[in-house]
Amino acid sequence: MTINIPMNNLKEGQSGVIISVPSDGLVYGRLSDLGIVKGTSVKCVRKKRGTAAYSLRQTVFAMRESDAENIIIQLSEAEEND
Amino acid sequence: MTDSIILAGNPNVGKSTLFNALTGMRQHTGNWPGKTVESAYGTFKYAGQNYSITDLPGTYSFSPDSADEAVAGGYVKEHTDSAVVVVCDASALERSLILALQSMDICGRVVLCVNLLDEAERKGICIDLELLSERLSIPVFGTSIKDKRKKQKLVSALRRSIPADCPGKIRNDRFYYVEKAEEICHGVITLKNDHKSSFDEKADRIFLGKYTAVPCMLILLALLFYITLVLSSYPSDFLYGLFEKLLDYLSSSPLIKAMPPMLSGMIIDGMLKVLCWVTAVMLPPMAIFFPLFTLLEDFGYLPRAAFWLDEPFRKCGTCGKQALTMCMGLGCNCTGITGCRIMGNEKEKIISIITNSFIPCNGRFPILIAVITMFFVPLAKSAGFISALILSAVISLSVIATFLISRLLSRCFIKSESKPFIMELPSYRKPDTLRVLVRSLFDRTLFVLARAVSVAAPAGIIIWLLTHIDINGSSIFNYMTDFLDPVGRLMGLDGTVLTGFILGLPANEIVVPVIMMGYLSGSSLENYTSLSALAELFRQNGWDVFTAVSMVIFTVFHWPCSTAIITIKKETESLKWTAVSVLLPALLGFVLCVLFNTIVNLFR
Repeated sequence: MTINIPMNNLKEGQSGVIISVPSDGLVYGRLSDLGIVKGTSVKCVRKKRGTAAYSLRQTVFAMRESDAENIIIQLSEAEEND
Repeated sequence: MTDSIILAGNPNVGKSTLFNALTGMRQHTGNWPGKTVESAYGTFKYAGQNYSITDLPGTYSFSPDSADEAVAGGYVKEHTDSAVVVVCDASALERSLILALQSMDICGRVVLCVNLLDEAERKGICIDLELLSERLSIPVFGTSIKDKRKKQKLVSALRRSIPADCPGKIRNDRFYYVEKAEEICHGVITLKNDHKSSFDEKADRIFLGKYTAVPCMLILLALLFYITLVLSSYPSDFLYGLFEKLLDYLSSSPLIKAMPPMLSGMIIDGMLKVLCWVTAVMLPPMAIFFPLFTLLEDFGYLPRAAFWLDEPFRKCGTCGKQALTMCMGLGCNCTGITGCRIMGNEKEKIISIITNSFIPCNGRFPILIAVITMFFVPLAKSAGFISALILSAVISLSVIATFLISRLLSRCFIKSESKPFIMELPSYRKPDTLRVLVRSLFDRTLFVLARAVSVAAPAGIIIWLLTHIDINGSSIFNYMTDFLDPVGRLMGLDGTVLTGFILGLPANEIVVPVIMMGYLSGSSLENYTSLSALAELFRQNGWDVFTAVSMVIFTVFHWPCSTAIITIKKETESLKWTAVSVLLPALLGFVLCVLFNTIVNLFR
């Protein structure tokens, strides 16, 4: 069974694979410039209210909850039992 | 024939460091994305061949629909005869390759430079450069910050590059580049996972930790000030003593004695004494603070602070990157204002430009230190700690004002299109301590001395003339101070201080010398070449601790200097916002001073 959640719901230390990014021009453009597209694996490395740090393609990015909530993640198998 | 090269790459991959190594120039570098916002040009020669080189600001993409990045892409397209050197971060090759692939679509001659190899190696990342070169069919060379053979490697790669046909424009399908980059990297990158719990994670646990982040930020700030205050008093005293002797010697020299009193006064009391003040008081703290700050910057701490401060800044309608522009403002508000280009959108950019002058710059910082040392703490050796605390409180005040005013401004704005906030948190880097200290010390000293000569010296002459030219029995300076005195008194200051700030418009460095000369013209005090003597002079003119507080407030909040105003006009392209940037801090400083003075008077 697979569990899909918005990226901002990832807990610290959890990881997953992006299955959809917003198709809206600006956000999509910005994300794909950074290599953040469908299929990219992501790990949440640090979380605080409103903003979180994600590790994507060996780079850590700070991103806001409001931007991350539109990105849908499929949780990694290992995380599902948490 | 000159071969022209364009350096392109993601932010913070070491382009400016490479540029400096190639040209021997000194672009400022720092470990955070967005340090370089303007292109730099330089030249170098290797094996009889001349090269001209352009360092573009860091960009993630050449796609035309992201405004700031389209500029970089446009530049590459307009210079098709140049070779593009795409600089990559070896630790994040996949991401960096997106830009390389885009470059190959708009330029026929592309060379790939895989930088920061040593850092990647520490993280357990190995890169097969030959395979990479084969797959991309362009020359690839690897290097690292400390590599001494950068020039040689670059030139040999350039010589190997063969112009290829290219479509001449970026594909609309962004997915294509990401997918292709991933495909190419497969097999090129080998990961050794045993290095997993890296230094980065440990350091981030402290600097980004729930309970440790804020204390860390405050302690680092206070520590920075403490070291600056303690260490700078020694060279300051030394320089004061030296100048005192020099001035004594000069004033008794036959050459000066032979001059008419007007001329010798202008040179000795006007020009040289202002020069002495600027060098003895302004130079030491700056020459100590900035090398230390540069270490922190090179280490990679600043983006962490920005990450942490994103939440309060978001509540004020901007984003954490504003913290970065504020840090740049510490050095010089002009740099900070130009740095506001890294902000997400127009609204955030304008807000951070307007509030940037709340951060005391290079010219005002030493005024704060001097006033604090003179009035808040006895001139004892243990004073460093108290001064550092007071200074931290003052900086906190300017940060709080930045928050509040940003919030106020963002409320008044029409909602502008919001871009997603994405900020890279780069790996920590071990700064090349000695080199950074020496170079930064040298650069800062040069900066302050250049300002001293170009602004303070002529200003000294003008101020002296203002205080000594008589019109109807009173000097021009006196007319000014008399006129401004009622306003000054209302603020707990006096006309002379306000005149100081007004005449200090070209450079804040001369504010205190103006006040000093103003007071001296009505006093017989001769020896004021030390801070304690200066404090005595100020006390004779009615200063007390409360005057000093008002002085500190107005030093932090008044108008930006003329260079900063010009920069604001250039960056905002709007007279309205320039006017706001000048009037708002002035009004704030005025109101705060009047408020403070009224409260003090109630209890007196």
